[in-house]
Amino acid sequence: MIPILLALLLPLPPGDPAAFPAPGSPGTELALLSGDTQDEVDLEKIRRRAREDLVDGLLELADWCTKKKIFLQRKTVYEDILHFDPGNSVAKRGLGFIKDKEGNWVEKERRVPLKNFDRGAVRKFPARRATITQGYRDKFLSLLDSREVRLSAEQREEILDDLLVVDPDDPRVHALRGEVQLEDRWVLHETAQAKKNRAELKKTVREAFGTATPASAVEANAKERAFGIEWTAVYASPVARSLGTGSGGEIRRLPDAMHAARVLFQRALSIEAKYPDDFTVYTFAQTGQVTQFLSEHPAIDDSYRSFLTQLDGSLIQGSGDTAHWAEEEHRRLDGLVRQAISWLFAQSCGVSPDDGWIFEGFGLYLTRELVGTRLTWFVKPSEYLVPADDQVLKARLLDTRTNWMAEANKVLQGERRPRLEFLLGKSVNNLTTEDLLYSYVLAAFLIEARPEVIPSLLRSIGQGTTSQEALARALGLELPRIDDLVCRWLSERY
Amino acid sequence: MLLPLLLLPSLLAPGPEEVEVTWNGRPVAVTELPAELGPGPEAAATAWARWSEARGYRMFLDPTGRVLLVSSAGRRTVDHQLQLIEKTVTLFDELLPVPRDREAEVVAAGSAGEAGAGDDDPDELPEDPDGPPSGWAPTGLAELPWSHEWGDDTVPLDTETCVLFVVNGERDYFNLLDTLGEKQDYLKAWLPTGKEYTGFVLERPLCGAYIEGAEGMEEWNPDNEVVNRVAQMLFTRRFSQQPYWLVQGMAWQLEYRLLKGIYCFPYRRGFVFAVEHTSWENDLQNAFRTRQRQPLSIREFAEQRRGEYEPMVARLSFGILGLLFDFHRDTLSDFVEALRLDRKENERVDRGDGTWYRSLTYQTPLKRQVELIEKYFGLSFFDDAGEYFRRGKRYKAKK
Repeated sequence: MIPILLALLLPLPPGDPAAFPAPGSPGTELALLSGDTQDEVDLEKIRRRAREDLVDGLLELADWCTKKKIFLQRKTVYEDILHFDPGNSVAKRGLGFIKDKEGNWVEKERRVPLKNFDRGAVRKFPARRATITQGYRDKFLSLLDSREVRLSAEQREEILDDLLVVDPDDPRVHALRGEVQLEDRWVLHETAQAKKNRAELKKTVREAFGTATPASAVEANAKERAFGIEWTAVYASPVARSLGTGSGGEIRRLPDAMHAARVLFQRALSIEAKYPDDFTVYTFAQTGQVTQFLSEHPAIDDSYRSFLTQLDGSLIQGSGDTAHWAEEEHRRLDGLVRQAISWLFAQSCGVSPDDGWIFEGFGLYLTRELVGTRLTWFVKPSEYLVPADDQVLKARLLDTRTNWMAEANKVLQGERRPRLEFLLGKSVNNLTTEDLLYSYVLAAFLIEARPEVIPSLLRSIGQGTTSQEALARALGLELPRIDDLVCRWLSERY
Repeated sequence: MLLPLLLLPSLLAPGPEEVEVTWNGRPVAVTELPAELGPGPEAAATAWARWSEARGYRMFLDPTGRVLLVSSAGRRTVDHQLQLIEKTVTLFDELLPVPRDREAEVVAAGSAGEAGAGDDDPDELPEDPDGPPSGWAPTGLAELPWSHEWGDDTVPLDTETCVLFVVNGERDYFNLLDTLGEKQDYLKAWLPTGKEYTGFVLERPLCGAYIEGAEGMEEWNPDNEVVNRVAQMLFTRRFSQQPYWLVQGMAWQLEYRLLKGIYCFPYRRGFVFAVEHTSWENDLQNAFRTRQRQPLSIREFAEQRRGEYEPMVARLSFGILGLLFDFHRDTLSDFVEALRLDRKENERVDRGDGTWYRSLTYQTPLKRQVELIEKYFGLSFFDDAGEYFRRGKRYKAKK
């Protein structure tokens, strides 16, 4: 626990706020964490005065609406006033509230529906409103651009929220919030970006399978014969050899899957990676053959063997071999693809099972894109759910029909949900089911929405930087802001 | 040296964006089909695009996206076949709707999501907004062995698109079987048997075929082939693997109700009398009139296995499904769902180490089938069945 907290308390690099682009882009928030106290006081004064001026202007506008009998417009003006001055009694009364005996505002029932009676005034209303709000908008947009005043992320966000009340479709304000317009709504830049990148990703997967050099039937070599196992077939492609005791079709297809896994890994993560020169995939349909394989394998000693016998498959350390012996072919395929991706992570950037969120999140995401399943994962009992609910969630996630994004959204909107700063410090052995879901979403976010940060992020973690620090640097945001960003992105994913 | 290189792209399976089907009378790229049709049509059409193109077939999708017709016939024939498919789909839904428990699960899941997430319904979030993963699983028809159990692993219930091949001659039929064998190792041993017949329905991948104009075929009607085979596929799609008597009895009933006769006799060898197509109700009536009060036993119809054809067993399966459709429609889907769940629970063979595998040969025991029949249709069901056969259209259900 202590190392994680220390990492969170490490000072972030100083910077010039004006030099940073909009929120959601790298480099924005780090420099704006803590303005000096005097600036904060001044800012509050500026905001208070500006709000008072704006409210005065809006009250005049409301009077004008009353004169012109455009009551629907007047209602919107009163609502805006209450945003900037929540206790404003004129606006309250104008919206139909009265004070009860205890002095609380209560809404009285409206007997007559509001109407506009002057179409000409309705047409003039937007321009009149803009005249009143223009000054406020200009003042705060220049404040956001200012090099003089240092704003915290929260202050900046509050100002931008206020500006959207002034004009909900202000393109400049949305741009400062890292948003783009998508038909009739504003979404994160990352949301739109992910849509484009997903199409590319799918194309990559199709090409990866389409361009695999078909494996050819070959003879078993001396090492393979030495196992004393009767192989159904032996196939070799430029990527991998494949031997097994299941169906010939399974054995023949596996080198294609290994090829596709590497192609997708390299393109999705922009990291060069390769398998060992003697990369060989072993598949077993019967338990007895596994025992023989593990007994005869030159890289497996007694203690390693007793560990491996508890599993359904594994990379064989100290060799270029990977093996799987689950009962069903699709489980063997799923497990082997996960193992291949694990190898590529370790070989290319030093990421290991200690980096649980990467190992599981990216591993599961890429495996599903390749073979459509997510059957291989490591989790411990939940820290957030009672055991029965935990089992239900696990069972649901193992069902291929389950929508993991919807499940993750549920988990992340719950009160007892994984904390990003803790999740990032866990090894695969410490991830809970909810952590696993969050890791999956985080990997999806990075692959789909921010792929450009992945190579440096993973290399940095592989070289020993904590995931917390590396992710904050890569995205240019503090972890709570990253958490907000990812959750919003998930809710907008379309 | 250049020629093989130029040929290479045509040997590769086309991407979905290159695949076109005719849907609602117009050609549509499968990637442009409405999302509500689900991933089934794209996966099925992509898997069979190369075979169809190479042999001059075109692909037609029914309006619901549940059936892909692969045919080389002319426009009028295809339109007629599509109409039959639509009628079959409609009648199937009417007789065997989605079981209530399964519908309730979906509703409950939706409600739970709403409760847990405030105004936003998390179930609205799409897992795959741009279509399913483009690797092996979605196009698994072409590449991967499918799950043994519908709705459990890679093929969710009621999502797969059934593929019906109307094959033009034995040469294409044999080629289709060989192609299936290449795609699915488990079919290789069956291929010689498959070539002895003039049609088939497979559960994995979910497809069916019949030969138009095979030699020596008399007393045969292509319309019945369409209805019977599509009905079998729709049944498997919704309810997974089921006892053969139930599947085939259901398909014969749909034939009979839509086309007024039975012409599709899977696994039957030998001569078919012309009168047989419409005589099954009378045959049952005659058999049970002389039988007096000996109650019907489940062994008389439920021991039939795929690959067998016994005339009286066929009639009994047909008759039982007639009784179920006429008098027990409100609980029929729930009964079939109970059989599915029983299979799902009991086909697992425990290895004793906390893991298990599925037995492909599992059949729900007859005793258990009787228990479920009596639970859903009443303790007097087997007596009622005898009475129903005996009285035919004059039968009235007990109150």
